[in-house]
Amino acid sequence: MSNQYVLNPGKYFLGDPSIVIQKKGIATKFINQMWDKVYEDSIRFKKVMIDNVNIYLMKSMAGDGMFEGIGTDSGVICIICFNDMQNELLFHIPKVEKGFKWLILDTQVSVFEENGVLKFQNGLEINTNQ
Amino acid sequence: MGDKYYREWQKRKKVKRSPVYRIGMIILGILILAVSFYIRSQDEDEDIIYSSSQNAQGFYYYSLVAENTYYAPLNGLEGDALKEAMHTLLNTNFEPTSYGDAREYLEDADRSLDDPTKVWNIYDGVLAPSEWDAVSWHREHVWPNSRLGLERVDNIDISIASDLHNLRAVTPSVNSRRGDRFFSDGSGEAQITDDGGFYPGDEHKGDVARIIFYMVVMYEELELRDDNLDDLDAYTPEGAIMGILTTLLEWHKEDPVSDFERARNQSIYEAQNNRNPFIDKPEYAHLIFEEKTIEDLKPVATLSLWIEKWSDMIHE
Repeated sequence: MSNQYVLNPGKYFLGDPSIVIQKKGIATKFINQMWDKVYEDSIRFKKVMIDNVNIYLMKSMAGDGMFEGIGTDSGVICIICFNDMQNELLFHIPKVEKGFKWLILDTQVSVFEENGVLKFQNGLEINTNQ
Repeated sequence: MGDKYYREWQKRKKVKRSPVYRIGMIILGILILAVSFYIRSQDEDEDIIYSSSQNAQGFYYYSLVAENTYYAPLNGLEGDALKEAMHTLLNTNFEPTSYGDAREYLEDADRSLDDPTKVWNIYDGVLAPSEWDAVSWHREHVWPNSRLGLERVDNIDISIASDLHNLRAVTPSVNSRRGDRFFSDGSGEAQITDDGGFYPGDEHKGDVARIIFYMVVMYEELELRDDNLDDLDAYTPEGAIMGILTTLLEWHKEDPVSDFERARNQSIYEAQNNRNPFIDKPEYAHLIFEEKTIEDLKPVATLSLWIEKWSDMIHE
């Protein structure tokens, strides 16, 4: 059984962590810790906490690619709450919404992974098994 | 006693004032300067050994190709004229595959020359089972997917994102660490660099450079430059930028074309009907990106050749 998590109401980034996590300074340690946790086992979808920031990460089944409008160069798609992305030393907020989505959740929504498909309780699915 | 020393001093003074003495001293000074400059230049280059088809600075020698061969339309061209003719050549009869199908093509193209059951992963050199299992290797966009200027494509689409020359088998964890970073200088194994870039590793940096050169000629919407490579808007035409150009040019010289790249180029040619010219004719990079001329890249006679010729003339 895949990990299943509940997302509280709010605004979430859904896309490649590469395009929102800064590349220099303290962000380097942050992102290295994140990749260490992602690849410490073979679990495809997991939640990690680094510096009090929760990140839900799913390894794409096909690696790099563009899946339902969500692109990834890291072979991983993540979900991060917008409120957790306010540290400019760690996060770079893209100016235009392309290659990723802003999810607005009015109610709690559960999310899980099945055969490379990221499934949200509200019906949204990101199929990386292509 | 005093007179004797005075006469000797006067004699030496005369010698020092003579034109022959002065010219001799000037020649000696020039010789000392030349020798010290030579020794210094040797020290600077001692870590880099270029291949036999490169000159001492690493530039590849120029050669023409036979008529009616793939690169014949590029003969004698340089600069923008060469770039434009190459762009036309690469796009003529180009038969791109879909990104989904690229998995099967890469099983063959990236096959290890040492073990045909494995693919040779870029950046870490890991040999992974060649058959796609979604775990052992993934498809790496050497020119990142997010920097191709595309807003949206899917795996069934045929696009710039599915060009086989730009795709390499990669270890998934290494692929993640590289992400969409531009390439930056380093040494040793693949690693993230302090400037936010990514160093592909000593054994892979030349491969990377030649792939990037191919992409920027094949697709006119892409741009290759030296600065302002960070914080670009992903998946936008304005963000279709990669670098660092000057670093890539150095890597092209320091890590010459390998047999693996040649075999891969041929495999991709059979799949999509175009070649990476910078693997077959590495000197083209100097003519397009470094403002070198064909004349600059012609082999020059070495000192030993001159001595040989001179010796022959005497014996005649």
